Parts: sequence; C-alpha cells; structure tokens
Amino acid sequence: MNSIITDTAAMERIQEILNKKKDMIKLSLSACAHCSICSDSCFKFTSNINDPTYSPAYKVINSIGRIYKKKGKLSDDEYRTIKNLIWNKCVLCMRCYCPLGINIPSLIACARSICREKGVYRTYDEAEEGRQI
Amino acid sequence: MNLAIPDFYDFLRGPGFAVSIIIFLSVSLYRTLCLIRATRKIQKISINTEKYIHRGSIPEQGNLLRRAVELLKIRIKNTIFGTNPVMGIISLVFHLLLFITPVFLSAHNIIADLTIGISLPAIPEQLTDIFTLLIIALGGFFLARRLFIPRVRMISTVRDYLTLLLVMAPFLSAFIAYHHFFNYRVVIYSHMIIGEIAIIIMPFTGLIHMPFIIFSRFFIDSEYSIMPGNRSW
Repeated sequence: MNSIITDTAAMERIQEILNKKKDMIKLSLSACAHCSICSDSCFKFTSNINDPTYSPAYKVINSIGRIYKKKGKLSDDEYRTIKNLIWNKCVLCMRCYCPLGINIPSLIACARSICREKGVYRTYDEAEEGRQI
Repeated sequence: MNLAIPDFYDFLRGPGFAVSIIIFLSVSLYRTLCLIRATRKIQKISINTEKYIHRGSIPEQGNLLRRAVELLKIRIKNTIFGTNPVMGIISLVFHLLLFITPVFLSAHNIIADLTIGISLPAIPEQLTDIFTLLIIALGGFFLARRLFIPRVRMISTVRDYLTLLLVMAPFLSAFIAYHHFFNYRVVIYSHMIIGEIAIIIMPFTGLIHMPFIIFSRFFIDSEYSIMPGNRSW
C-alpha cells in the first residue's frame, strides 16, 4: 500500500513543479477545445471504446487540470482517483496527439511527478486499483 | 432619439470594431508570447526518413499522381484525416468557412471601403448565404456531437456550450438580418454587438486555438505540423 505523505515539504515540492510548468499547463488547459479528437490516437481508449474516461483529454483535465486548479491541495481520495487515471488508464506511450498541438504526454508526466511527490504512485506488484498480485 | 441610432451605428462600425480588434490582437499577442516562453527550441536529429519510412510503400517509378497520393496517405496516416476522415473533413470545412465567410463577405468589404478605403475581394452574396447556412448546420453538428457522444460530453463544460453559441450567434444573426426575417435594425445591431463581443472574448477562451494554430502547424513539431517545426513544449 502506498503511503500518503501530506507534509509541508511535499506540498512545497508540488508548488515548485506547478510553478515551473505553469505556462505550459495554463496554456494547454485554456487552449484545449474539448473536442476529444485526441481519443482516436490513444490505444487504451480504442481498446476500451465504451469507457470515455480513457480519453486522453479526460485524463489530462481530471489529473493535472484538477491539481493545477486546486494548487495541489486535493484530498488523498482525489489523488488516488488521479493515480488510477494516469497510471492504470495511461501507459505514457507518447503516441497520443492533439490537433491543436497540446503536448498531452508532458501534462500526464507532470501529473505523475506531482503524485509521486504526494506519495501516490503505482507499484510494480499492483494489478488494479486495490488489488495486489 | 433619431440622431442617437445612426451615432450608435457609426460607433459600432468604427471605434467599436477598432477597439475589439485591438483587444483581440493585444491579448492574442500576449498569449502567443506566453506560448513561446512555454516552449523551447530543440536540436533536431537529422534522419533520412525517405530512406527508412517511404521505402517500399511508394513506387520509385510511375505515375506522379500515384506517388503524390501515396505520400499524402503516409503524411495523414497519424492525423484525424487518417483515423476519422469524416470528422476531419467536416472540421476543416467548418473552420475554413468560419474564416472565409466574414472576411470576404461583400457587405463587410463595402463597410471597410466606406470607412477606411480598403477592401478585399468579395464572394457573391448567394454563395456567402449558402456558406452561412452551412456554418449553422455544422455548428448544429458540433453541438449534437457535444451532447450525444459520451467522450465529448464528459469533458464538456458550460463554457464550451457558451463558446459554441458565441461562434454561431454572429452567423445566425447575419442570416436573419440578410433575409429580413425580423426587425432589420434590431437584428443588425445585435449582429454587430455580438460580433464585436465575440472578437473581444475569443483570446480569453478556448478559441485562442485560432491564433495558436499557426504555432502548432508551423513551429511546434507534431503529427499535425505542416512545416517541420523547431520548437517543443
């Protein structure tokens, strides 16, 4: 089980990451037209066609988008939900593309960095959310 | 009171329009500078892609047209035109018409000529009328897509619906005004006000993708870039 670190040092590091990537996150989130065309480029989405939460846009908006809007101050449960989105529903294969040129993998990688600082990440012996192998 | 109306009309077609364009350009420029700051120049590795990718897929000899088609097929394979061509064409037509129709509309160019003495070539009115109808129909298509396709609906916010409304409203009001369906004066004033508000709001919303598209097509390297860009996020 991952430990949830909520100390001040972790929050400071999260702020640091957010400040460093602020321009990219802010521009990407505001330029996103929510067209969902990026979905066609995601093999996880195309193989789970009935689940729209696999769409790259959904993953970005509900991971880094939420973290950025709340300045990293999310509850542990919210971080766990994000973890499920950016690790279990994305393999960071970098094959997704946006017609507007938004760098989706960079945004998801940024969300992963923040989650790691928070102590939320996927371990190699983990099969699915809540299940260990 | 009778004097106030032409004054307001003059304001809308003169200073009102100029102010909206100035706000649009300055905010777009500021956000473009932010985009440049958020991206960095990259040192590209020179790989002879012709040698690796195109070999075997394009006939060395033969019909020029066939070669061009094969090249195009490879180029668009990883874009929306390759994965979802219908959506790609609809989107392309919609965006082209959004630009062409107001810019080359004869009425707009007559006003421009009367105001600043400069005008662009005009498209026949019957054709722009068809274009407007097509834009309204395609706007309806995008609304339906947002409402009925789960993957689009799940990420749609009130802002997205308002943005679509903001884009469609000037065209709807223009169509109503052109055909004199209601009180012409009220409709044409609404059209001018809505149009100018749309121009002002554009760079503050997701519609910023309009000026940003130049960067994603020409400067940032991706599947969609027309020219090989030398910048990356």
